[in-house]
Amino acid sequence: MLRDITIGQYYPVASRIHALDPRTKLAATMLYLLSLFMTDSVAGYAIATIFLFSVIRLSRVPFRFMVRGLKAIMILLVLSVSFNLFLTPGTELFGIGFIHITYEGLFTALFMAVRLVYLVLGSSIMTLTTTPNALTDGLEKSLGFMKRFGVPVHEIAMMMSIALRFIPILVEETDKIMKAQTARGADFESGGLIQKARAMVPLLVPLFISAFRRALDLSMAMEARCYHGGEGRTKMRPLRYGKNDMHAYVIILIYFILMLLTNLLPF
Amino acid sequence: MESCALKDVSFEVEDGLFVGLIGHTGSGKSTLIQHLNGLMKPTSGTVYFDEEDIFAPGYDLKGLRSRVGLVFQYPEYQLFEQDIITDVKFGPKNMGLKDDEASGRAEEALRLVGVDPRLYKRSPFEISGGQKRRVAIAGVLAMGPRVLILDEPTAGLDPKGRDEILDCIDALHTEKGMTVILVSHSMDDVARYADRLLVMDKSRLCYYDTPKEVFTHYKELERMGLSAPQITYLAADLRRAGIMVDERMSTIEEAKAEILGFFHDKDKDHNSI
Amino acid sequence: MNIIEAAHIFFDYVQKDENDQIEEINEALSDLSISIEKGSFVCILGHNGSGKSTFAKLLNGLSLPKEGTVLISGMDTRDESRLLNIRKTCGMVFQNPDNQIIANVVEEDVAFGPENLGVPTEEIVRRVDDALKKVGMEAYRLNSPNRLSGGQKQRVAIAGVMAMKPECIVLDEPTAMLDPSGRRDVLRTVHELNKKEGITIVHITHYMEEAVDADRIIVMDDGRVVMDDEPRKIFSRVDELRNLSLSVPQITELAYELRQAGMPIPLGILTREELLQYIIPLMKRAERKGAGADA
Repeated sequence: MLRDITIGQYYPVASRIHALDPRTKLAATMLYLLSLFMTDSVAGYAIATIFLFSVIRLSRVPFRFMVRGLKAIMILLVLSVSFNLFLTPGTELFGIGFIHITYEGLFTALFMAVRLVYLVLGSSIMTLTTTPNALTDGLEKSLGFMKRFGVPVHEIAMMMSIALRFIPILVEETDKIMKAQTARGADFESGGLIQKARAMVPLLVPLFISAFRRALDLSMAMEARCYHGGEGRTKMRPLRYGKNDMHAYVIILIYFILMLLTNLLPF
Repeated sequence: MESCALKDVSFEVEDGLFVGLIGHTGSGKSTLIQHLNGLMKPTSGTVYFDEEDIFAPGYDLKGLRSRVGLVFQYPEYQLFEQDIITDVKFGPKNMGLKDDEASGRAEEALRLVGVDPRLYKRSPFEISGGQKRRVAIAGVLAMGPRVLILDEPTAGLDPKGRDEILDCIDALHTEKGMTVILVSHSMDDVARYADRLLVMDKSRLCYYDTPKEVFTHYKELERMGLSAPQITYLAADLRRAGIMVDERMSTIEEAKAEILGFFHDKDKDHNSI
Repeated sequence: MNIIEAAHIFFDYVQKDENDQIEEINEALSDLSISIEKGSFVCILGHNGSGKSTFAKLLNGLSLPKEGTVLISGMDTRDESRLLNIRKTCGMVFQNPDNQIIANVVEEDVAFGPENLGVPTEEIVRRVDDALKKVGMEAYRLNSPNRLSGGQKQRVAIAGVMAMKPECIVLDEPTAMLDPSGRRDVLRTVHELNKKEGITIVHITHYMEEAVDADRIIVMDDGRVVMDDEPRKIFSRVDELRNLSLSVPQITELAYELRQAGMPIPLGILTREELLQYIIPLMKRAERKGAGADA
């Protein structure tokens, strides 16, 4: 279940998307996400579809790998689709008892589903093609101006990067502790809500203790390797815009303008 | 991405046996033992306990887990209660035992692993690494299993902690008649304690025989990234030099008896190896 | 010249209760003096709680002694202005392979040290290349550390230290959580670094077999040095080692037992070859005699 979250998982292949500067990818992702919220026309979604799938193609990340990220939002997807489907007033298509499905409801539900799926796919392209470190580098550099207002940008970026590194480890650990406690007769599945919550104690306590221990170990290892905050740090791969980044900016801008224009269309 | 972790593995373990399970990291050992108490379900094939199919519908898996105790690697990472005794009672309580009965079981289990009663009310996080591990093993023992499966119970311990744990497991086997399956990377340890060895390689079961028999295949073991005890190699070297010691010696005691036997003719005639 | 000079070290672990009152003081090191020669390979042995890890942390200023001084290449670990220099001179590798890898890609992790030291970009790339080659991990440059085995992770950690161009590496039980093949790889790597690069190695372990090839073994117990000698001399003292709850390599133990039983074998046998060299002639003679008696 937790394993299915692809966000934060880097897929190592060489592609044009991988080679882009993380700042480019951040900006492009922002614009892409924004564009999805700005349109609700068929034409807009058609353009978004072409754009999204071209980028997926270019990224050389297998499609089935991307789709895995969707499993995590399955519940959200089903919920929002059914809300829209059953609760939107309008021209009734058919109804059984108190359930009414309207033409408008079907339409919004469909758009909602596509929008959600596209949102997740779009953001997973960024995380799948950008190493978490590059991503945090990109954030650190793009948000660098905030340092002037006393925001500890470097520290936040470092924290994010470390969190990403330890997510898979802690997921594995959760699985192991869960199995170990099951072997001692623990039951994580049956019972009511309160019982279930109580059953989590034998899982959560060891997990927290382990997380703290790892944090202590890691901070020591970082110190031993001369970490002393962001000051005076250099980079092995400093961020530099290349020719491809300029092309990418042009493409995403054209895409964005096209999406804006679709709002003027009647369908 | 999915790969087969176990391929066509079949074996039987008789009651009361001490079985060593060896194999290179990733050979399928951990997967195998998780099948034995129903934590993992095989894609095909099944597991029988007391001649009953544990994956048959309606089989009491929870009950099975109290009879087939499984101690994971670094089991001390699963401790969570305020004090040691309460932690050990977790298993028996889950079995539905009453508090005093669970306490009795817990105390007995802690006694078996040699934890000082004065520590019972201490927090399990304040004691030494070796002690933590013994408390965690007691947590499984308190459920009263007939079969005890341990995944590298000595990993990361110092020699003293290692010997204490192994001696304790050996005592459970010899004194309590418990069936033991011990996953280990140490050939010396399994040579010393196990009646049988299961050897896993690339998801398959390669050997299931007495340690001495298995170790005579030391060349094949090396191909699997494993090795034999140093003493086995010594025997092979001696034989190569024309000194016909028993090729199946594998522990220090056996080697000592065998070598000294050469100097006392009487011993040579009835060496017991 | 001595790269590490620790003189009359005392160190306490102080346990405090909720109200910050001192509850318990455990003396971890008492009057410990150890100096380590540049370029040597030193093993520190001792069971858990003997103080060996505490000592390791003093060597690059992760903690400071209560009394006494620790000098690394002549720099006092108390001197905060030299701290980075000390840490880069004397790098550390820890026990848990997962908890010391910081980055999400192997090469980025190796670059972490030099980046902190403000090394220029081109130089970092060169150092990372070089360090990964030296530990035999260049093929994994772009991999995620999560997909590596324990032994590979430890070698990445060693590369991370190497990229800081250290003179000395202290390894605090680097093999305790590894399988036998991982242990072998890590050991081979540190021995190579010692021989080819002249890096001083301080290897802390409780596996006696790992100490056989060291130049010198220091055995610690109860916060003190109880033995300090070359391996052969140390391994001659089998009974003492057993009393310190340390185990002796099987071959050494067998040789010792045979000697106790009256066979003329010297003390401190370390390898199978050595043992064979002594027992083969003896056993051949016994065999001939036996055969003669039969005839």
